[in-house]
This record gives sequence, structure tokens and C-alpha cells, in this order.
Amino acid sequence: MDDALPRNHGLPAPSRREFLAACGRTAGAGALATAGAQLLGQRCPAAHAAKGKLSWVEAKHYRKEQYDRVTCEICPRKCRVDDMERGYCATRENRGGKYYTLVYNRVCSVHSDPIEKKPLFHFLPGTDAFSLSTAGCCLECQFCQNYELSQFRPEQVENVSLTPRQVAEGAKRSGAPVVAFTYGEPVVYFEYAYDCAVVARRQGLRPVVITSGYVAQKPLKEWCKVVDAVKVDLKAFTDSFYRDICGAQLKPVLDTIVTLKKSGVWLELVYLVVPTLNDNVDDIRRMSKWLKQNIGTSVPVHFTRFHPTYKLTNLPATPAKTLDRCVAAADSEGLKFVYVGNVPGHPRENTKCPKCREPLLERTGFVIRRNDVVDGKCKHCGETIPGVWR
Amino acid sequence: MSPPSHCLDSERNRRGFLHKVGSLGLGLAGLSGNGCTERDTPGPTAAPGGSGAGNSAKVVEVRGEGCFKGDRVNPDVLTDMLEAAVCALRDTRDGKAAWRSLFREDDVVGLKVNCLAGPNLSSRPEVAHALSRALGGAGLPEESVFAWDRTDQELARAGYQLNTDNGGMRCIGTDHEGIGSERELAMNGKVGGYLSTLLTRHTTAMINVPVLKDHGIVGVSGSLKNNFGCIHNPNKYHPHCGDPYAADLNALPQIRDKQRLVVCDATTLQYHGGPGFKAQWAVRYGGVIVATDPVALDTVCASLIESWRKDNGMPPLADDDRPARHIATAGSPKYALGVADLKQIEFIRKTV
Repeated sequence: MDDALPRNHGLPAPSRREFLAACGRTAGAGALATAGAQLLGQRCPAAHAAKGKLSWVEAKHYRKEQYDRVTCEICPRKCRVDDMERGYCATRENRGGKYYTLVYNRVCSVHSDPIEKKPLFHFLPGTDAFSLSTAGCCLECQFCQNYELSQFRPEQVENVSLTPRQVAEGAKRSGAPVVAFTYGEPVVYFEYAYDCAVVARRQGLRPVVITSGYVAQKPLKEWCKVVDAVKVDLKAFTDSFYRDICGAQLKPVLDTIVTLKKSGVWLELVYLVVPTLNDNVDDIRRMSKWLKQNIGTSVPVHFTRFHPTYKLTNLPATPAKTLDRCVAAADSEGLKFVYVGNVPGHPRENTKCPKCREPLLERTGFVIRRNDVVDGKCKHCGETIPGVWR
Repeated sequence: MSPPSHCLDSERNRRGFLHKVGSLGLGLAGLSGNGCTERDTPGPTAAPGGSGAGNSAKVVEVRGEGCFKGDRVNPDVLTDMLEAAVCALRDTRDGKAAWRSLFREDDVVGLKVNCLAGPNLSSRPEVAHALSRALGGAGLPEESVFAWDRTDQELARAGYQLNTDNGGMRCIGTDHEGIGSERELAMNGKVGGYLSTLLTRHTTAMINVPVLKDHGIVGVSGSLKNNFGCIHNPNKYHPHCGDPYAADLNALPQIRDKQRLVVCDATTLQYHGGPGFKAQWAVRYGGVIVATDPVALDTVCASLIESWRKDNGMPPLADDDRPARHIATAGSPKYALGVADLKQIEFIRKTV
């Protein structure tokens, strides 16, 4: 699964035993990064976590109104938040007219993942990303694969304190050149992700953001100055899907994509194909045309398989044929790097040179089996391959 | 800390209330001034049931002349107010019988209080204790009554003494160790959340104890809105003035079937600036409002708030971009959670 949370992090009312068991399963899978745990002097970061700790750091990007009301300006929702209330994301609270982020430093998942899991296919392939998240999200996607973390309030999820400096140190110790803000929605922990990115860069690390793209333009532009890559989940190409399935709107996400492309930050897109809800090939074709017109043909687009989860358990996993139809539609519009995700062994996990059609990067799942990109060019014909390769 | 008294002029409010009785155009049955309704029509004899059972479109408001003693609520007067209200609601002069028509002796009753706004505008501990005493008088041990809300911290901030095992009424938050939420998502319509186990496992019946207050997004924070505190993710269901989320949530069988009574703490009424406490818009109303029909009760509460707003030169909630339309939706045929038409609600007002 592309950037799914290591399972069972952030459970509703977990017992200590359950949480430890969950961490044990993750470690047993051989994927657990111990860096975060070592920072805390624990084998398992959750073992001594104080459930529900909140940070109470003043938020950025809000406007004070009359009578202690504030308007949040971190995402396009622009929540009007009265005193003692929280915004839609439940990670920001108004206290007496001052708006606070409750999740600064409050990390509820930390893990080292292959960069391919994000997925970022044209960004330092074969490297690890020191990945972390807090609780909360500014959307409510009914198919969220990380809902155990994203759809809970910060005090409902086990968390540990990790300062930006500790994050950078943890990444270096684990040998990961990348720090990824992922799993949940980094927009809701904007201030923390921003500070982590600044410190990480000072340490020679590459910060990346994995996001829905549901973010206001001002904070987005601030982010663009401190991160190296962004993966945006373009969840559909219809506003009705965004409204009915995600509780959001399409237009701000498209604006985000355009801004990111203009900024020069490396950009990749994921489109999770949900059977019957956003798998209309005409919509895929319209989306591909829009991408071509607005950001060109060289931005990688990943069509990934949906698995039933959270509120959408009544739908089957996406058939491989549906994904193939989406790929064909995008290909036909001229997009150069179109991939299939969550289908291990699928030929469209690989990268071919758009000019000579020779295979450049061969992947099996998250493992790189071949890399023929040399100095950013095709080893066979010398064609420049867009991406960040070193 | 109680609201400053200069902001809560109970005498002025009483006159204001009497003035509004006429302007609301509501029924005024039972304004006898004594503790019980003048009518002696026997109430329904059915076993205690959900919110929609029996006299569902009846709403009773009782205000106590001596409700406030200084800055504090007088527990004795509150007890009388509650008894008068439940007697009027159940058409009986016998307080015990009234409570027994709603609850069995072996029930474990959860009082879903609303503690978001701190000590000045939460469901008062005195109201919870008065309910606990009343239920005790009807044969339920006080240990079988749980006052609860989302978190221990919110309860404590509102003045509740947390109590899990020291005898007397229990008081506990969903976030208390060993409580928590269900592990299965409860879903209906556009709502999906993990329900508090205090609702689903630890209690057999619920009394919804909201506060009579304005809300900056959904217009009115009454009984339907109070149940947002039953799920883990209420913030997701505020958009579009909480509509149809409030109706979807209240239609969950775990809530609908367990909620037997609504007792709105109307000791303080806030007609603007909610849900937090704003002294300049809060008045000492000195009342309780009860119903078995949550929609009817919220409809009446919305009318009261609109009336106070009008009298204070404020626009209707709809003109302030926050119509309390979730109430009408809950009363619509699709949801049928109660009666949202004022003309079809028997509104009884009493004083003790």
C-alpha cells in the first residue's frame, strides 16, 4: 500500500498491551526504524508515550475576529472558530481569541520507509525516508487508509515528543537522506513540518511532503521554500467526489498543483482509483488534459489500487483492468510517466525512457532492481529524465 | 466561577420571559404556579422507551423564582423545578411515578452533560446531582447514575467532581482510562464515529442534559447537538450548520433508543456568542426545559433564543448565516426523530 501507516498506530482507546503488540508486529516485519525510538531511549516509541499530550503552540496563518473568534487560514476551509472550539481538523483550538496548534512536536507515528512507498518514483530512488506524522486531517476521506491517525483528535492518539532537531538527528542516525511528512495530513501540522524541514535541510537532509494538497496558498508558498518534493493526492477530477467522499473541494487542490509546479519543487501525483466513484475514464482523460495544459507532461502520475477500509468497506479492491484503462487514458493524452501502484509486479511500476523506450528503473514493490538513470539522463540515449536523482 | 451578577439580571429576565410568552405564540398550559400540572390525565402506561415514546411533542419549561441564591443555583429549588417539570411531562402529580414511567430501578442512567464552555455555561453539576437525587427517589441507586462527557478535564473544568468508585453519582469522561470508545465505527448517513462506551456499554438509558445556548456554527446548541459529544470526531460534522449531520447522528439506534429524556439546563441562557461563555449575552434564565422529544425541545429552545436575540436587536440566526436547520431536518419525515413544528408542540410553562 502506498504510504499507509504501519498498521495499528493511533488506535481508538488502545490498551498498552495492544499498542505494544502492534509495535511488535511492525518491528517483526523488518521495517521499523528504531531511530525515533532511540531518540527517546526506548525500544518502542509508544511504550512510554503519554496519550493525549497537546502542544499549545500558537498557530500561524489565522486571523483574529471580534469577540474572541478566529478564522483559520491554513486550509481553504477557512474555519471560523469560536472561543474554546477547534477547527474541522481538530488539531487547532481557539483559547480566548488566540489560536493554537495542538500537535507541534506531538508525533504519533515515526517510521523509516522506502521513498517508493510515498510514492515518489523520480526522487532519490532506492533511498529511505524518515517518515512521521501527527494526528488529524483537514479532510475526511471515506477511504482513508490512515484513518486511525488522521481521523482522531490528538489527545485520542498515543504520541511522543520529537523536536525538529530530534527528527533530523533520527533521520541521520537511521541513514535516511529524506525526512517525509506523511501518513496523516501535514497541512494540519504545518508549523511543525515547516520547522522540521528547515532544520533537516541545515543537516543536509531532503524534506518532502505527502499531502492532499488541501492547503491555502500562503502557507503552501512558505513550504515551497523549505521542502524538496511534494506528492499530492489528487483524489478525483470532480467536485462532487471531493464534496461527497472527502468533505472538500477540487479547485483548491488544482491550485496547489499549479503553484507547486511553478515553484520548482519536485512534484508527483497519486490518483487512488475507487471503483464506481472516481474510475470514469472520461474523467481520467479530462484530468490528463488538464494536467498537460497546466503542468506539462513530465510530472509522474500514479494510479493506485483502492482497498476497502474505514467508511468504504462495501466496495471491492480496484480491478487491475480498471487501473490499466486509467493508464491508457493518461498515456493517450501524452503524459510521459504514468504508473500503477499497490499492484506488486505490475509492469507499470517501472520507468521507461520516454524517448528510446528502454527500461530505466525496474521496481518490485518498493525494491529497486535496476537503475539506468545516470546523472539525470537515460543511460541508453541520453534523454534527460525529470526528477531529483542525487 | 459563576457569571457576574450584573450580566444576569434574573428579575429583568423573568419579565422578559413573561413578555416573550405571548410573542412566541406558544401554548401556556399549566401555568398554575404550584409544583404540579393541574391536569390529571393519566400518562402513558407503556414501559420506558426511547425519545419518541409517549407524550413526545410535549415540552415543559419550569422556572424557579429562587433558582439562584447569590451566584449559585439553589439545589432545593432545582429539585422542585425538576419534579414539577417531569410531573407535567408525564401527566401525573406523583414525582416518583413520573420518573418510574421513564426509568426502571435496574437502569443505569447516563447523564450526557455538555461541558465545553467551562463553569459558566455548561450543564451545571447541581442539575446533574438533582437528577441523580430524583432518580434515587424513584428507586435507582445513585451509583447507577453516570454524569459524563468527552473528557475528564472538561468535566472538572465545569465544576464536576470526578468520581468512579467513591459512592454516589458517578462522574467520568470518555477519555478516562478504561473507558474509551467502541472499536466498531457507528455509521449513519453522512456520519461515522466511534461511540463512547459510556453510552454503549456502561449505561442502559440516557438523559440528554444540554445547555440553552447559541452556537456560532449550527445556530443552537441543544439536545441534538449535545450528542456530538458521544462520538470521537465531532469536528467533522459542523459544516453546513451541522445539517444533516446532527440528524444522522441522532438517528443512530445506539442514541435514539437509549435516550429516554432530555433535560435542558436553562438556568443560564445565552442568545449570542456561543458556544463559549460570553457574559454580555448571557442571562440568568433560572429554568429547566424537559421533553422526551429532542426535536420538539430543540425547536422550543431555538424559539427562545431567537426571541431573546430579537429583543436585543440582533438578527435572526438565519440572517447570521447559521440557521438551526438541523432541527427541522431531524423532524422531517426522512428522520422522524420528533416534532419540529412549533404549532404541533404542546409547550407547558410553569414556575415554582
